[in-house]
Amino acid sequence: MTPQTAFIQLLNGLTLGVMYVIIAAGLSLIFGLMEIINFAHGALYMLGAYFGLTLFQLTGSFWLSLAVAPLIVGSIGMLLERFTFRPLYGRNPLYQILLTFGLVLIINNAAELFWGTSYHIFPRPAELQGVVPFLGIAYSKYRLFVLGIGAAISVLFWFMLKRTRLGLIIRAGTHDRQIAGAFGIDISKYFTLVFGFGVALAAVAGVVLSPIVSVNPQMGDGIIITAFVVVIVGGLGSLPGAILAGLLIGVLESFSKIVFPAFTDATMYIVMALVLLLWPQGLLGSEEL
Amino acid sequence: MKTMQTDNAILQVRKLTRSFGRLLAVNNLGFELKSGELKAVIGPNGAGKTTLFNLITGKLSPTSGDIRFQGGSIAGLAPHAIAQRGLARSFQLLNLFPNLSVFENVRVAVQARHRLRSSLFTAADGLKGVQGKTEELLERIGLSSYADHQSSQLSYGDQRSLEIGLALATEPKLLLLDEPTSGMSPLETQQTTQLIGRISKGLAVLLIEHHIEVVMALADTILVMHHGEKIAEGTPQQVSSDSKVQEAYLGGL
Amino acid sequence: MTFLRVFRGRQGGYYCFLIFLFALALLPLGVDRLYSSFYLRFGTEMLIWGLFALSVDLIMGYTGLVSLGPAAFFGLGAYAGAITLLRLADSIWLALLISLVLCGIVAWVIGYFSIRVKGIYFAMLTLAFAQIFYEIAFRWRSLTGGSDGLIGVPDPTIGIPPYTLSLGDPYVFFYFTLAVVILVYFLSVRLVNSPFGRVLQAIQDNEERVEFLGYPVRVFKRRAFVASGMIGGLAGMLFALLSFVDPSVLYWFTSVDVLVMALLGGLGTLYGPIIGAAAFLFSRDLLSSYTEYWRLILGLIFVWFVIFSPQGLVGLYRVTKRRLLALWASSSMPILINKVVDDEDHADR
Repeated sequence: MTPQTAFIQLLNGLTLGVMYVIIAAGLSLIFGLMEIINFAHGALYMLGAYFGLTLFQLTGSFWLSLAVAPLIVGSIGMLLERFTFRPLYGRNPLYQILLTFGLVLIINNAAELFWGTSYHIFPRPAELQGVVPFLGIAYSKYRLFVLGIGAAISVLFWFMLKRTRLGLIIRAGTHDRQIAGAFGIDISKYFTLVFGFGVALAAVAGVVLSPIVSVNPQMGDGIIITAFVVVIVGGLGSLPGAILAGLLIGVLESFSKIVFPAFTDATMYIVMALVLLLWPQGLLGSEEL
Repeated sequence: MKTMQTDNAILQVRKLTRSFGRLLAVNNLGFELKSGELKAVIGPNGAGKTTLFNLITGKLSPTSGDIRFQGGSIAGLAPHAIAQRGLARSFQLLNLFPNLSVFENVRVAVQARHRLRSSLFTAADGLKGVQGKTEELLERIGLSSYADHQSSQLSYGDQRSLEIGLALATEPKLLLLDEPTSGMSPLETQQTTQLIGRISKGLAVLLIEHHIEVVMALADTILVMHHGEKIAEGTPQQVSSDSKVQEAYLGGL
Repeated sequence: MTFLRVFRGRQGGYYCFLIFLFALALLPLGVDRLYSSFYLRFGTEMLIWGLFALSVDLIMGYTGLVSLGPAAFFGLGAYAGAITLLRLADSIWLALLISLVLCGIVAWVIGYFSIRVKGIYFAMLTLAFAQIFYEIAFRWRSLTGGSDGLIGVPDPTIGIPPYTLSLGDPYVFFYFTLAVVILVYFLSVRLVNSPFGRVLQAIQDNEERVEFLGYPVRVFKRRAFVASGMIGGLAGMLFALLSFVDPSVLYWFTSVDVLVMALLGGLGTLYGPIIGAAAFLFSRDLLSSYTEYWRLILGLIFVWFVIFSPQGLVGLYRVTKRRLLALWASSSMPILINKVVDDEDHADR
């Protein structure tokens, strides 16, 4: 491997990694606050891609799709929280997992119903086609854009957690519900909003990744597992952990495709098993969880 | 180094220390418990009493120091291994099997001592001796008539009795009771005091208790802890006249 | 009052289950008279998935271990059985032996690592292990045939020559599977009522207290996990004789399907998951004959169950029966009926 290919693989890995970070951050946010293990997150990511595609076909604007599809998916998420998850709070978490399984069946099949089972190509916006010189190599403009938007969202999300009232509530709720309750904050009021926000992040990743991976009803089935691995490796409920683990796994995936192509996905599981054996709470997980 | 005193000591705690970060929850603590002795551990909140219990029963590992039970070190062993040696505890907060019947709660505890406790294809209800011992124990803790009730349906006081019953069912040589009367009405406290008095005959007991009248009624000796350290130990008379104890209680509460 | 006794306590659903098994045993009689031979194969498939769902109930309904990787054992059993028959010897007993031993060993190893962590971490580790097996099945083409799967698995025979029966005969295979399921079901009933099984139930209720009573909780959980893995492997091995084996048996959707079946039937009953598997496959078959979007409808039904009847079909049956009895009793003998219903509540625990 020449230094150039290595660098390109690194960038490819980071591109993938930032999207894993965004998906995993939403997943981790939902887990942290509501303790829901949302297996439907991948299906909602897929919905994001399809809504993005449809909006693009209707309007011809990638940017409009990128702005509106997450809003639609976020609203669907809020409805799901309100009408399906809400009755299950306080029950064995097993039932929430099983509920999300049911939602996967429904959403995947509904997507097939509306959009068919064939693969769709989501074209890259005209201004982001082609390559651009980047630190001594020619690199895809679109991938650089993905890298940039991923980093921007991570920073904004971080800022939201640290500096806004909603962020404060989320952090309080994630670390200790009783303390949040003692300060007179009823965190359950924010569940619907936070759930919608978390799945909207997945939809953003869905739209952004579509021009790279192609749109199909199964596109969420594999990525949800990857996202869970990221969340677990990083530490449940930890945003810095999700960032670290997302980038790590993205880069590992990218390099293992070149180095051991037969074990690309297995690498990820082995990393997860090793991390859990050495740090059972994940790389940056807090001990209470 | 053995002295006359240590020969019949069932439990020896030596220079026991446990820190959480910079906080020394238990600091250089040492004491002994003779077989048949009931020792009350008292002290203001945060004195390290429950940490001491968690160290002895294996829920926590000591930072340094040693705990010897019947002559062998148990420091840092897993809770089940310590329990197997004949050391049982009750918990400050209820820690029962809420969805099992009262009978099954005790039966599982009694079964822990049985040779066939992990047998796969025998019938649990047919284990020799277990059924009888369970009934006998329910009688002792006064819950025979509730045997078929789900344990979470019992009154609070009865659940606390069951809590003690579970610990007792494993036929321990040393029983650790963590605030058995916490949250009880005066009447319930009195009944529990009598219950502890009955069951502790011939048994070594370590008791954490806040009700001073319960301590005075039951304890052979008292260990007073403050900020993780032992500040006094002796008979109830010796301890109650100790100036450091009075200071800790007046200053610490 | 004797007719009411039939409905007493746990026996109610249990008798329904026995009737279901009996009816199933008569299934072959109607082939070519009432329905096509497809339904014989279908009945066999129900039994196999029922066995798999039962294995899940042992750890989920009785021990409180939420594993998201039961597909690992189903798939491993299927591959081990098929590969034994293809490569080693045309013997069902050898295939069974190898599947069971291999699944037992693998379950022990997965259990050893996964049971050290709890809750969601345990769930995710089991999922990861199952996915690793999926990857292996996918990539190790020389052994597993990769994505093409294993084709041409020979049909073994049972019996002593010259009196042998081929398991390729759908009637023989149906009854063979039925016998295995009944045997495993009664062994499992025995298991959950054994001293070991009671400790498992106590672990589900309050793990910490079991530890402090002197039981090595991890060892107990691991043994339950091994037992469950072996039963799952057995189901997979039978599946390899029924159907063709490809990596999808190891994919996480297989785990999803079996968890859905187990919950649909009713966890913590052992027979519930068998009924759940039958109900799942039956609805799938029924729905898919009308629409290709059967997963959508099945998903909606399942979500309804999760929210409104978490005890599954068995729970729904109990509630409905109670309401009907109450309705009937409101005119005649209220006190007596309430007594019956109360007894049932205790028996369920």
